[in-house]
Amino acid sequence: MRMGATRIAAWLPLALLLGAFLVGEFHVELPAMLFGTRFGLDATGRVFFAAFAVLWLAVGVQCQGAGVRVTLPLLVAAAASFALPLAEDAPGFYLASALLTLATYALVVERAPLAHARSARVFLVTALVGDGLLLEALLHLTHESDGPLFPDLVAAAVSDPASCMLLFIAFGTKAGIVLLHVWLPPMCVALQPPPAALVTGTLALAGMLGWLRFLPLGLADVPAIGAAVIVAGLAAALLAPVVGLVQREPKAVAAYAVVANSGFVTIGLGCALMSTSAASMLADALPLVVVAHALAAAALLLGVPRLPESALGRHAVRAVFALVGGPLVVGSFAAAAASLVLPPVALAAVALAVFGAAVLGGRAAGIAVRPDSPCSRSPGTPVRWAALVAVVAAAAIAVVLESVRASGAGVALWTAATPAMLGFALAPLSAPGLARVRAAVCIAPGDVLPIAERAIGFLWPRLLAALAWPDRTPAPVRIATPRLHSWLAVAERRLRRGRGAGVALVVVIAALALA
Amino acid sequence: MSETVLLPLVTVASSLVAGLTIFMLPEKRRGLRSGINIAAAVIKLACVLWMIDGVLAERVYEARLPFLPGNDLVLRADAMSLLFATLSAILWLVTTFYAIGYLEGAPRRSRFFGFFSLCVTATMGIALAGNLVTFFLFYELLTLTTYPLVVHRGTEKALAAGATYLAYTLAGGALLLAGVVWLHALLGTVEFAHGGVMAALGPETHPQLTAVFVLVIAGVAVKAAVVPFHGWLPQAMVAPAPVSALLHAVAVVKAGAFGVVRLCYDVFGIEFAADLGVLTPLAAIASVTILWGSLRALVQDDLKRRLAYSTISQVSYVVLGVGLFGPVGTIGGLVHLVHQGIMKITLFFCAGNYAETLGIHRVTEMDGVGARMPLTTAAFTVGALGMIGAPATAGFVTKWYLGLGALDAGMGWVLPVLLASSLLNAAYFLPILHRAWFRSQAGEWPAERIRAVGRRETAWLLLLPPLFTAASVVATGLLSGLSFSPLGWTMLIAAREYLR
Repeated sequence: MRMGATRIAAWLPLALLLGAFLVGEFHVELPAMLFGTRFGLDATGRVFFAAFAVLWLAVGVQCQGAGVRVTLPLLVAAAASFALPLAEDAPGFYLASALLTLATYALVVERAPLAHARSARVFLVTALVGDGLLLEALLHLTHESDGPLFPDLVAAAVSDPASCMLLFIAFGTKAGIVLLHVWLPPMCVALQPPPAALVTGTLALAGMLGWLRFLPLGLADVPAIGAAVIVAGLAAALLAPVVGLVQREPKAVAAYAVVANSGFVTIGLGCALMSTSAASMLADALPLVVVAHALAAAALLLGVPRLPESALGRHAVRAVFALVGGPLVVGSFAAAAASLVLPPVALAAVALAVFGAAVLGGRAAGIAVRPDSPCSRSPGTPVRWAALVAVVAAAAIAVVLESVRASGAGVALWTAATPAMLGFALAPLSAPGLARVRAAVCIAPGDVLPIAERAIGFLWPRLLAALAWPDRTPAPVRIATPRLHSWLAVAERRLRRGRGAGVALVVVIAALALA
Repeated sequence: MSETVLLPLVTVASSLVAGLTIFMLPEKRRGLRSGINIAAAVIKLACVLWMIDGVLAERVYEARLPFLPGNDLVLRADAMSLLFATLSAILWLVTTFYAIGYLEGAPRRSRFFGFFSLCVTATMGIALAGNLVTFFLFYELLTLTTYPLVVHRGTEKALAAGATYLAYTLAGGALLLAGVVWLHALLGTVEFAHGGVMAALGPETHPQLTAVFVLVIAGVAVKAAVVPFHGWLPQAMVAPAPVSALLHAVAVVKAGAFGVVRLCYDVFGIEFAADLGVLTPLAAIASVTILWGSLRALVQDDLKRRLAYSTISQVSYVVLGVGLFGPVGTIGGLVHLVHQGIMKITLFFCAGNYAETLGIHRVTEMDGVGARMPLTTAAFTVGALGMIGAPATAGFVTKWYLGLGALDAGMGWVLPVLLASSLLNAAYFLPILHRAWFRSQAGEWPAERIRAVGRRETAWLLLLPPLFTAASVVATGLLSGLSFSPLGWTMLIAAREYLR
């Protein structure tokens, strides 16, 4: 029976994937659920629904394990994943998002070895703070809007920049924006590739879908928010390669490549927020770039220890990552978006970030074929991995074409493509130099995380110590209590002797009532 | 006697008669005692459900008995009273089953179940009280009938806890009495009415009324365990688990919170109270209590003690809802009266199961208990997630409406309080879940009394009640859009309170 259930769970995403293409647009009202919620399928939802289906089809089955402690979180995470693109109002989306957080935590804590229990804790704290901020933002928007549906909320968000920032940060915890990315590298190191790929891909899709659903893209210019988002994205894209290149653990290198690529998506989002004209040009590309990024992240993490070890395979891997690994595709998108709203100096910064990310991607690809991989292969994995890469490649090509169309020329593509190609080409040459740097510099996965942990480690025990005094009874009660205590002890002894006590009490009450 | 008079009387009297009868039963008449208990609980629940239908149709259920000159004992069922009465009736039935299983083979069961029934009688009296004197009478009766339950074990610790409990609650009762008498001097007989009864008083009485408000709210705040009147509650944890469940979910703290609601809405009137300027301080005190209870819960290793501090925090959500002037805040506060009850009773049932089955009393003893008692731990998990406010649980509904209510009332500062409270709840509940589910058992259980037989991890009578209440936590959260859900009912109350 369990085998049957496993098979169904393995192939159900295929049915859902077909459904994403075959089922037309629909809306379902569920008045009994939550406060009366609505689910449905629209154009953006369809893209994300299909992406979740691809992800679960390629990776989900490899995450299964014995026992309810693995199966249950997996099923809940899958249900939450598929509910997210279908949700059409704030409570429904929050329900799915929070369930995904809890299920992911259970999955991480169950699959991570005991030595890496910290990674689950870091993820949980970050995600809980994110969900808390999300709730605050949704409450504000619901209060200010005419209803809980997305169009109402987005209209309200136009005039509420504080809620917009809260939403960006809240979903950024899942998407892995700079500073809130600290859970990602330790978790990728802690987990085996399939769960790491599943969690990273799923959360990237969930977080970025949240941005697209709730932020006022194309409704009004919100330059302040847009600029803040671009700065966050650029910081991630520039700094992640620096930290990633000194990592010694292959999965950490791959994780920082994901963070860098996430930065490029964030730059594109910021550009769309800055100007409605840019938003209208990027509108079609944004969902595609998110999907390409999330699936590429999953493919990268899934592929780290499992790829073919032949020379041909090695070249194939390089070629695939050159195409889908992010810097070329997602970097092109960022450059195209930046060319619409930012000055040339910002374009130069994007180009620099693309170069760094390409070097990092090259290193991740190089690591991917190292024969000293710590993980064993599982039957069937290469087929699923190849299928996943093919889908990513298709999405990537669509992104590139859409980016070029949106920016009006191929200039942006070349802005990104040149440093990307240069980076990939230089990646093998930079290896000896980087090895010397790695020998001298050590940055743990999670980079700023140890600083935060030290601060919390200093404050938390002191807070607990400050709160941990024994309960004290107030002085008047303390004085009166011993006497009362002795009277009551006598009363209690008498009560204990006979059952008549209760009757006596009732008689007194009855007498009072009759009086 | 018509149905409209009979039903409130039978609702209160069913447990009174059961209690009286049980006192007289010998210890060995276990079956008869259980039968009487369950029959009374079912009759009470049937009466309450019958009245719900009538109250929806705006039928008036009222029983009036002569008591003091000018003051009748009035039992009246309205939407607000039935919210509390339904909660108490359902949870009493569930707790009765649990208590029968929990006290299997224990001494002095007739005494226990007798006072147990009287306690519910008092609670029902509070719920259905139609005027202030009736409310006060049952409120004090509740103090007297719960004391024997708190000290039931008869140990020194239990007696000391009972003495502290009495000292606090009787002092609270004295404050309440002073306020009631003062109000009586100003208004004569105070009948509960939608919108309050203060409209007739001129502005010159407002300073007096502010003082009366402070007195009566302080009086009921003792039972509601509002800081700084909360000290009795963690100490009362020495009581048996069914009593803890009763204290925290059905009777005492809930009676205090219900008292705050009744006094603010149906004596002072919520708009009049807002004009007096007493609601913002009330919300501020509730917020302090919410954070204080959570902070103190963080450092408790004793499981029931941690739950007790959690109760201190959670019950003040009800008070906070009152402090947020407006229909949405009212909904958030009132619905938590029910939600906190079902979530907390689940947690106490589970704590009782751990103690009775494996001898676990401390959080640090819970490593790997999820593997040994998966169903109990699943129920505990649902209750804990509800307390945190996770979506698809009852706690989320509360936090959503309280948050919106705060914004409606222009009290945006409440939102960070709710966020901090949720994070603190997570900080003291999630480590328990982590230990239970994801750590391995460390050594032998402290005192394993009930061996697992197949899939049965403990006695059925101990297992089924928390499973039922845990399912209710999810049902009330996920299906809160149903018109007969607690949320639907509180919307009805808010509509009647604000739109008339």
